Amino acid sequence: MQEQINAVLIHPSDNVAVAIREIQPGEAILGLKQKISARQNIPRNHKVALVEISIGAKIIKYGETIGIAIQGIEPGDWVHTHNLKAEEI
Amino acid sequence: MGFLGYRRPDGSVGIRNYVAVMSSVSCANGVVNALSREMTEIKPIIHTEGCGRGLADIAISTRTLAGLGKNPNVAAILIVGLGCEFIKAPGLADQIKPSQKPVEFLVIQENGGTVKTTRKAIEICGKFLDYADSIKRTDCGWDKLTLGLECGGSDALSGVTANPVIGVAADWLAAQGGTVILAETTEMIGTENILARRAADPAMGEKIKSLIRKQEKLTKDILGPLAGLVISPGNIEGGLSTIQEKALGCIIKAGNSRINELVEYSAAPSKKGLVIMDSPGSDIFQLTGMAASGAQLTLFSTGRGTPAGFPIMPVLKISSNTELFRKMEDDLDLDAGQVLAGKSIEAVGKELVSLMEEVVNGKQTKAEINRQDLLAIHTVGPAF
Repeated sequence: MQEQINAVLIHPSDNVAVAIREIQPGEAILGLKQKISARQNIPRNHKVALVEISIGAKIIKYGETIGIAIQGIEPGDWVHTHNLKAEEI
Repeated sequence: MGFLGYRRPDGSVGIRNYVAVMSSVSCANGVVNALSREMTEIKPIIHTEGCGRGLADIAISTRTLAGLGKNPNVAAILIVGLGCEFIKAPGLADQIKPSQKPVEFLVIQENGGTVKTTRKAIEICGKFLDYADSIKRTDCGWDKLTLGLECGGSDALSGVTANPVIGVAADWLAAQGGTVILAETTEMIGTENILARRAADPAMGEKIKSLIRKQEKLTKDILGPLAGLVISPGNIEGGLSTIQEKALGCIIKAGNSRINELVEYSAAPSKKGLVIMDSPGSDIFQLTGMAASGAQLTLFSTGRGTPAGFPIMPVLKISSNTELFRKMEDDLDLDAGQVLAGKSIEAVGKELVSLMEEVVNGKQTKAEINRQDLLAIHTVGPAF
C-alpha cells in the first residue's frame, strides 16, 4: 500500500530529503523512517535536514557530499545556501 | 538468467536485427532515402558529415560511422558513397569488416547515378534481409549488453525521481557483468573529485579530473564567464544549493558503481561495468555517440518530454513526473513520477529493470513505434 508522502529520501545514507511539495512549519515530514516535523517553511523541491548536522559537517545527498554546513542544522531545518556552502575543489 | 539476442560472428549480441544502409557522406543521403522508400524494412543511417571538414572532425566522423556499422544491432550493412568525398565508402566498409558481418558498398559516381545505384542497392539489401531472417534469437548473458544513459529536457524532478530510478537499473546491469556508459561531460563539472574517488585506480582518477577541468575551461571560453558558473539563479531558486548537487542529480543515473574506463566520443569501451564517455550532453549528438560506442539500448530520462529515438538503437524513455507521462504517453515508456506517490526509488527501479528485459527481448519502445530515427554526429571545428 502506498502512503501519502511529502518528501523523498534519494539515498539511504543521505542526511537531507527533498520536499516534493511546500511543507509548512510544524508539519510532519511524510515518507521517511524518522518521525520529524519541519522547523521552517520548506519550499517545493528544496531540502530538509533529517538529523542534527554540526558546523563543518558534510551535507549528504545522492550518497555523496553536496556541501558543508556553515551553521548548526537541526532535524526539520530547511537546508540551502544560507546554511550550506560548496566544498572547496 | 540472461536474454534472447542475435549472436553476431564476432561474438557480440544484438537486441535488434537490422539491415542498415548508411551514407558515407551527406551527398549520398538521397540514394539512401530513395532506397528506404522502396524497402521500408531497412534502417537508413543518414547524416550531415563525410566531407568539407578538418582532420579532427574527419577522424570523429569516421570513428562514429564505423562504430554505427559495427553496432551489434546491425546484422548487415550497405554503405553508399558519392566517390569524391573525404570519408569514402570502401574505406568505411574496411573499418567495419573486422566485425565479420556482411558489409558491402556502392559508389554513386561509379554506378551511373541515383536510379542505377538504388537498383543495385535493392538487390544487395534483398540478400541482406534474407541473411538477417536466417538469424534467430538465442540465449545470451547480460555481460553482452552495453547500456547508454542519457537525460534530456530535464526538470527539477529529474534528479529526484527518474535519474535515481535509472541508477538502480545501471547498478543492476553492472552487477550482472554488463557495461554501462555515462556521458554528458559538461554536466560533470564540479564533481571531478567525487568521480575520481570512484575510479578503478588513481591514474584513471587523474584522467577524469583533467577531462572535466578541460571541459570547464572550454565551456567558459565558448559560452562566456556566466555559463562557467553552470549553476544558475533559477537552479538555486529551484532548490539546488551547489554545483555538486546539480551535477550529482545527473550522475546518479549511473548508480554508485566503480568507474572502470574513460573513452572518447563514439569509441567502444574495452572494459565491463561503468564507463565514462566524453560526449556533449546535447541529446541527439549523445545518442549517436552511445550507439557508435556499441550500446544496444539507451535509458533516457526527461522532465519536459522529448520524442527522441535512434535508427539502430532502442531508446527507453522515463518521465520524471506523472503529469508529463500522461501528456506525452505516446513518447514515454515508464513513469518515475510514481516515486512522488509514495513508491520507493528501488521499487520503480525494479520495474524499469523488468521493462528493460522486455525491450531487450524484443518489445518495441515508444520511440521505435514512432520511428523516431534521429542522428547527429558531434563535431569540434568549422565546415569548409
